[in-house]
Amino acid sequence: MLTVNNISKSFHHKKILKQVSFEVGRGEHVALLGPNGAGKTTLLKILAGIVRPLSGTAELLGEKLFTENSAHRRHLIFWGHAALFYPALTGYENIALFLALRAEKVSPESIREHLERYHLEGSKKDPVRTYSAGMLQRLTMIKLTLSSWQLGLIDEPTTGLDIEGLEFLKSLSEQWKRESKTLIFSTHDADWVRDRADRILLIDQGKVAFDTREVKTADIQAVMQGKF
Amino acid sequence: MQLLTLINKELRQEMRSKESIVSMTVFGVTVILLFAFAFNAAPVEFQRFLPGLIWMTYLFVSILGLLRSFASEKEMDAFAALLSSPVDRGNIFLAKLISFWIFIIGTQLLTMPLFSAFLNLRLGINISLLTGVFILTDWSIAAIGVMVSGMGLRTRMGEVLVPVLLFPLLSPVLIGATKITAGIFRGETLADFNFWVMIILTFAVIFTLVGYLTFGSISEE
Repeated sequence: MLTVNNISKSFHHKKILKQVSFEVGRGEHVALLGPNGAGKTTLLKILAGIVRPLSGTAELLGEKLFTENSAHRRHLIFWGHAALFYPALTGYENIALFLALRAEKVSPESIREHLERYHLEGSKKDPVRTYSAGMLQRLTMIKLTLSSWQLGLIDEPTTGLDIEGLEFLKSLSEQWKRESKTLIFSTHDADWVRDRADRILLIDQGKVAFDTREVKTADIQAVMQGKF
Repeated sequence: MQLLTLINKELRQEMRSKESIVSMTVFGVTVILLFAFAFNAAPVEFQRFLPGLIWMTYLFVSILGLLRSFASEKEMDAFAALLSSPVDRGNIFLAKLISFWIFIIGTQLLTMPLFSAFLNLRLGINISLLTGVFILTDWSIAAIGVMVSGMGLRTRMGEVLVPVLLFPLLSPVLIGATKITAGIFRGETLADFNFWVMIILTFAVIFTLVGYLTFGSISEE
């Protein structure tokens, strides 16, 4: 489904990614692990089209990434560290805007229903600038729920979520698994990796240092403790 | 359709926050008042400086507006969401250009009367010709400004980069606009400053095309 070949990236003469290559199959939930500064976020942003790689190629569902053609981006969705919303617009307006830009056919009632389901109906007239980190994460979940995509690129999704928010995310993760949606997510949450990932991809010093489809608690602990 | 959605987003944001128009207008009023107090010259003398003062004011106002307009893209990194969406990046550029062009015109409508009130701008000039020059020059300013701001969006020194790059790039446009405005104040016709109209028009067309075609590359990190 996704093929990544020899991606390299430097920032200010510092090499962040060095010839990173891997393939991801349809429906796989890949945990992208590694210490801070390893290049996980950069890799996700490159795949999302936010950062341009220095070299390398990638294909998603047979379509080349890193080109001026924007059509392939309908297959992917990015959930980053930042909220990725327009601060002056309301939650409803932000969701409606991004769905319109993705040419998704979603009714206003459906957006409102989801705002209620995620307990954001009380803030639907407030600009998202006033939302807490957890509320913004829930709004992002609505964006992902109402969009049609095949590859989710998710950077530390559990950050800022309260217990209820985590439950929403767990439920979504299971739904995405059932729908055979592919995920590449970075996290420092060992439990989340153990319960949700069916593959570990360790990035260290800009390279793929470890890649396994046998997700074992011992491996996760070793990776989290930097023993690889 | 995408373009209309993006323009609607820009205008809706501005309606909600009023950050660009209000800051541009307040800054414009301040600069006009500063000029009025600083140049304590006779009204006749003002007529010589006025075209330059007008365009200097709108250059400063434009830079402030551009920085404000792109700040909303940075605050929650909404621009990253745009880049990762199946949106043609040329359309992002055009939407920013058109909305910013509307903001500059709006600011000018609100502040131009002050030039008359405080800096002795005569009202008996050819308003339709002056309006045409403003519309064309504003488009050039917006095209160059949005392109440079797009470059600044992904760099750490973006807020310094924008004015540093914008001043030299806009110089021919502003020189032309000042010459034409001075000509209109003297009662000359369009035929007398064809050359400068062509310069501004050329900049408008070139930077609109270059911005449309390259915005994807220049706005990625």
